[in-house]
Amino acid sequence: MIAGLIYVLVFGLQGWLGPWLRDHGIHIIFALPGIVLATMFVTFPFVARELIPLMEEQGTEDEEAAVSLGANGWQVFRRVTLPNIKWGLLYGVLLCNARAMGEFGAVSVVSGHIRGRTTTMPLEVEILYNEYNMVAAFAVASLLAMLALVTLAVKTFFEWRYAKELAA
Amino acid sequence: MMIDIRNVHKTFGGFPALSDVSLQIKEGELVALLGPSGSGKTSLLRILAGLEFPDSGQVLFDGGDATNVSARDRRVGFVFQHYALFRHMTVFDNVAFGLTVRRGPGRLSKEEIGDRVRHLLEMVQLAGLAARYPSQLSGGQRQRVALARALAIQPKVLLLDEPFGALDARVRKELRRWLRTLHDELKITGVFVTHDQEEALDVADRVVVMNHGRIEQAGTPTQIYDSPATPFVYQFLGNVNSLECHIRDGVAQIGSLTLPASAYAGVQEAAGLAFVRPHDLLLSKMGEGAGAQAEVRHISILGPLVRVELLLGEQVLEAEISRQRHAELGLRIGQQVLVWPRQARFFLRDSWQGTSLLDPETPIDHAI
Repeated sequence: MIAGLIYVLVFGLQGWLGPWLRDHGIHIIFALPGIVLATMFVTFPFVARELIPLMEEQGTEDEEAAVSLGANGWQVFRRVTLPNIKWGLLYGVLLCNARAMGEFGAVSVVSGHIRGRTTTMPLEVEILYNEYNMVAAFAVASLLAMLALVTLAVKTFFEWRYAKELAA
Repeated sequence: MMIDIRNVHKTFGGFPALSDVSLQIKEGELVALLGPSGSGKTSLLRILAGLEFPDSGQVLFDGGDATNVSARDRRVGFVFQHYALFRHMTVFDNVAFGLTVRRGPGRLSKEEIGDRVRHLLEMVQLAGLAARYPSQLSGGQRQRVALARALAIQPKVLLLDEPFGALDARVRKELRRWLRTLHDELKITGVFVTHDQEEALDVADRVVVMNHGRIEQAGTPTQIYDSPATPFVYQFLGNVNSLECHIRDGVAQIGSLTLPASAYAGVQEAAGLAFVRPHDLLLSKMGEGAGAQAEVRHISILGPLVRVELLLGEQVLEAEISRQRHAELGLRIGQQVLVWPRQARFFLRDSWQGTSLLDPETPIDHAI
């Protein structure tokens, strides 16, 4: 919620960047970019929380070795750093995805609830529920719950794979 | 390649890792940087590799200033203590890495890369293991892969950071002989860091002893071992007895033992330390030779040698004698014997000048 409010204050019509954005025809609040930004804000810490301890543990020796062998920054990242953090990154993305699917507060503030254009599944559940359309609301909620189960399964798989990588 | 290090300073968060270090390394030489943890040896090596940059001072490669050249452009082979092999790549891909990342005119074709990698793997005796992953190799094998990988880019200088530190004693010994042979074949300039004095004396052409970010002494293994320049070098290299003594008019007094110290003929009265190697101590039965009276406190038999712990006045010293001599003397604990040093070296307390003695509680390695 707070994150959403901050976005509204910054990008909204009365916000700091609002007038400039309007003049250039860029829609953030009550549009897709707003939803994406709000979701990123609340979910990125999940990726960071996965990756920072992993990268700290791995240290910089591999990267130093790559540089002394003549690799440039991009080559070091793509051929050494990225493969080293692959599983941690995927795991983080998954957690991120789970959170994004269920995120309500921040998205609710910035989305504007325009049906078919700026709703997410949790928002759709709310709208349907408010319309007393119980069957549809529960149907969407069940879909959401199933997605959560799929995510859980994938997470378990990653944890299993990722533990093996770390032990190696 | 010839390396010239000029007045290099480096501090890490206020802690001086290197202060005013100057050193020249000749073409084709294999140099050991020897010192305790925190002595600055690894910092110096990393500066040579371009992984760290000095606060002031210069590094010259073949006379050209390389101080600010990045690690990427230095053409330096660096071997890490913990190998730093890319664990998601096979041995082959690890060794080929430096060649496959190359861009521009120096780029080799796939076939050329394959040939060179196979040649290197043969050289490090790992030809059959090209398809393995690092996790499937032993420590000694991993270190050889790391070496092959560093050599693949045909570096002008090879830098090794505690290359055998993580290996067990037998593999370490084998690998260091092998490194020496390899160096003699390739004639590449090499610098390696170690805290193991035996390793330094065994492998290197020249040993540079470091302590507290300074060079204490640089010289051939023989020079370093036989004529240490400072008390620190004495204590760091090999076993040594350090004894409190008084120096007066060219004579040193250690308890009841009086020895000539002609270098200090002009000194009236000063406190000093005498250094005597255990194998330089001669023991004889009472009344059968020269020396001061000492009491045998402990005897331990170490293969061909016997280590005798003696009490001279209030100071404890260790002597190493042969098994044969031990039998002749018929030593027992509590027995009185005569002890005489074949060789001793004296340092005045006042002239230590910043060269502190070995502190047993030096910080752990890589604290920086």
